[in-house]
Amino acid sequence: MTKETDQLQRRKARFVRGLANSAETMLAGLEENPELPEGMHYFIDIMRDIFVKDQEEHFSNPFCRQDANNRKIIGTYCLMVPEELIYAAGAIPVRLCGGSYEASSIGDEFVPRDTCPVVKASIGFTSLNLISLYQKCDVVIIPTTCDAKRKMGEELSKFTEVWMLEVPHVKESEGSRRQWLEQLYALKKNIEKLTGGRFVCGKIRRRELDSAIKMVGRAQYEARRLYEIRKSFPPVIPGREAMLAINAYSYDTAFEWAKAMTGLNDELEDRRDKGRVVAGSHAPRILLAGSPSIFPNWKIPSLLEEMGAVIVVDESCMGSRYLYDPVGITEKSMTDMMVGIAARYLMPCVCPSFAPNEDRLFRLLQMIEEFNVDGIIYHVLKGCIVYDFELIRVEKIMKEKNIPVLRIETDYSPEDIEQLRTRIEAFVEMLETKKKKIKEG
Amino acid sequence: MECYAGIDAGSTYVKVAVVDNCALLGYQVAPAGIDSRKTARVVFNELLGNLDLSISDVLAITSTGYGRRRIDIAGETVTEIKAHAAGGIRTAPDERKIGTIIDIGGQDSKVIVINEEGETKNFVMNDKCAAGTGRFLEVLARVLNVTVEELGPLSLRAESPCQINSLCAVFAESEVISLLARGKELKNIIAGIHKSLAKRLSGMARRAGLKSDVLLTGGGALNPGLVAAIEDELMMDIYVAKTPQLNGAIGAALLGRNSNK
Amino acid sequence: MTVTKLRWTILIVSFFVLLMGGWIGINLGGFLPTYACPYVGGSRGGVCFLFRLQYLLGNGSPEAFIGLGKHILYFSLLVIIIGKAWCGWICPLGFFQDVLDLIRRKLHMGYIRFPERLRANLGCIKWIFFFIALLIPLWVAHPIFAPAVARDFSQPYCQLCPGKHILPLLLGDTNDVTVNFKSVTTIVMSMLGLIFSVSLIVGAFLKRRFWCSYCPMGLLLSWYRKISFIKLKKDCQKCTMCEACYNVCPLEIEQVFKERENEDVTFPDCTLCLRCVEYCPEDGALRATFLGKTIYRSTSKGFFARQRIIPLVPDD
Repeated sequence: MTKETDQLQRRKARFVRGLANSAETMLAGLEENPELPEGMHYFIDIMRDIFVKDQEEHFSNPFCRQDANNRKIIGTYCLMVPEELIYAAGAIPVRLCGGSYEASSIGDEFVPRDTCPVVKASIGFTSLNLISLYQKCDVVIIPTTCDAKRKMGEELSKFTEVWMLEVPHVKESEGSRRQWLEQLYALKKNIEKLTGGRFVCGKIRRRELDSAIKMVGRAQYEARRLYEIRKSFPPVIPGREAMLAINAYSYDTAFEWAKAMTGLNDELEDRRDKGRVVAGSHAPRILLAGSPSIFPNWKIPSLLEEMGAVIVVDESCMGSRYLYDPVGITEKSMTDMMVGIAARYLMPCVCPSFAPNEDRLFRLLQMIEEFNVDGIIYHVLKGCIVYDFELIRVEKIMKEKNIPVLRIETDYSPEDIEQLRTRIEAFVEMLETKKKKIKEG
Repeated sequence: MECYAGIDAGSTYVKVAVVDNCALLGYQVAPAGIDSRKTARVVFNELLGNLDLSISDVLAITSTGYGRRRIDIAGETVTEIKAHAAGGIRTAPDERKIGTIIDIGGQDSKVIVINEEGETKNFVMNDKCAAGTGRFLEVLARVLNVTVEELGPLSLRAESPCQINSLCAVFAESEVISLLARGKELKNIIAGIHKSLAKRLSGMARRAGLKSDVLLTGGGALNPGLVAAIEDELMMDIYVAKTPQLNGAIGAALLGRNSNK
Repeated sequence: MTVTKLRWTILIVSFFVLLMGGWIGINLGGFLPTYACPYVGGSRGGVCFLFRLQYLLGNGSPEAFIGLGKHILYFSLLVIIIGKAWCGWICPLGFFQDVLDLIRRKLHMGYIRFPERLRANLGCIKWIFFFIALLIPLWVAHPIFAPAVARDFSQPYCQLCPGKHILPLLLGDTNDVTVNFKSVTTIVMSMLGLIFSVSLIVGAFLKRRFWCSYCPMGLLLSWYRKISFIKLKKDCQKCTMCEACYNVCPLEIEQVFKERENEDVTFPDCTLCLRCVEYCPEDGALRATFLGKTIYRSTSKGFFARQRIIPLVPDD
């Protein structure tokens, strides 16, 4: 081994240790909760396997026609990549959006300083292979959402094979929707080429695609059940646990995940019926809006809930939005399924990289009503311009609804935790006072 | 005798205030030192001694400020925001109806918009760094070789304040040094520093949704030059709390009294 | 029973009643807002309003005008009660198109969708048909020019209507499926009619409810949508704009998912088939109302059940 590679190895080992440590701290913190539902262990274990133990046993695909050695893993970013197509081709989709501080500090070397930490972390993970997952991906698909993600595609292509997926930014027009459908047809062909080569075994067939839609749909059904459960008053599950369970979907097969989620949901429904709650009715109910909190960056969710608030709902692409919108098909023709898939991954998505994006405001208003929200924490990851842009609109409509909004701008680094703690605590205090006052009349 | 104590364990000073049901009985301020817990205890006992009170007279001790969690003698803790909001409506001069509190602390500054009952409606705090805080003044005072106390009177004599563009304490420092090198007068430089700080604070105040009347609290309020600069920036009268440094401690004591009732 | 099944049942029943009801003595009158085609002969259970409209306008006598007024009144009442549900739930020609669509679906063939611009351009066809049905009979009644040509123009729209050719054919009557060589006018008209019929059969096989976008009867019915008792309503805040309603809509109405302000989303083309309500994944985002009372609303559970992801609940 040459001196350089040896040095690199040692450097990598340090990062890996750091990552494992911070991930394990978070997970152990969750496990300390004596009220932790049994069903949560499955999701915590997935995260532990990926980030601490660095092994993936969870990958399986019921439609896989290739032998185990030949199976393909396709990495995806954002939530516009249709998993159904990947599953139907017998490959395994893994969502790679990074949330590690350690990885983001590696990524600092590759991208401009003001890039958002998600992109930094994703590049960090890929460049140094902190966890083997990133290495195992045969190809990564990157939708062109925000500027940072788009340019990330270019940077990542130094390390791995990258397919760009062009997402139109004005989704209402007929032309962009048609173009998006064309993109998906092209993607389908590419996936088929990857999984099947010259043989027919990788072809995405009608029947498999239908089953894949149903399989993912099943997971979405369970995710929606969790969503419903989180509406209960007082809350029966802390937001960070619910968010972790959803986040775990990134690294699990839809089928297995849905099974585990069914268990968790049954347990939670049972708890709800028995009145086993995790916080009193005085605890402020928070909507965590804005940039995604991606494991192991559990900074904001932990701080918030340590301060006595409960995140009853979040709207990020790693949380509630991830699995909310299902594919709707009415017939088993390839056309209809592709149209349904194209619609699901484009139209209801309220990622702020779209403009106009008025739908997001409607969605937030709906959440405020459905979840009895007392206040909004608006999380802005440094460099996430698009979310920051929409803050003005969000603040405006929330002022009309008399819902306080606190903007928190931060990255993955732990250094500002104390400052954030004061700010969040004061916000929670403010909500508590307001709530008490309403209660007293 | 029934009384209530508030301890504001700030980054630079520990402030202790004791109130009874109607008035401020006494207070004590001491530099925080390394061990704010010990400092707080010492200061608290000293104050009780001065006021001729025993510990059993104090019905509630409430702590606030950065070190609030470390104050073991305190029963309850509240955030600075809440404490300042509660204190602000009492420490305002001439019984003014306060709508906004601007607090210039050692480590952070904040703008709090409150309602008539002294409850927080909205607040903005400075970001991570020292821009817009008392520390900014401290750093620059050191460069100029004057004490923080001297800054105010000096700046009031300025004829044409210099332009200081940097908000960052470190960059502002080098800017000040180059101004000195260019032979600018000390008073003008100081006035410029105040102006820069005031700009930053008024920006925060506008973001929070400024409501009159404005009350200035925290150590920074003791600086008349800064007060004048903020008045100029906001283009409105601002009022300095009676004991600006103690606002947080008084607020904490009052909150302790309210929750004890 | 799902709404789709209920709709199919009603469509089948009304198909038989309207086309064969005459055999058991049913006569629903001459003002039906649907294709109850008189050309099927004695077995018909009622007569299409358009036929009577052209007939009475072409007659030109004062009595005919009074009769016409009465017919318009009855027609209006019928339309006000259930609006364009006549198209989605009763029309025999609609049923025929749905059957073709079902065959296509069973063959797992995809459907065709026209681009927006083409659709907008084709939108004028129903107006042309409407004016043919309205103006030519007036000319026939008062042939101020070319009376020889006018003579052969009785029931001009019926000659073009695919219903005239297809519906009798479904009962085994091939008499109408010919070119009428009586005069140049009849040759042209019957040829056009045949062309439209063939294009309906081909079109409906490739595109859902192909003909409904061009039907003048649908145009007439759509004028009543503001006062009709049945309405399609949307809760704009609950809508996620997922486009599901557009993809299931046989008429491909985009405005339903794009609407962001108004509650009433009963758009002119809407046949009230309620498939959009069935396939909407949001609780209560879409609903059908009768006199303001909700009679059917979308549910998340219902959506997943129809996608065969969870078992169908029997009472749904």
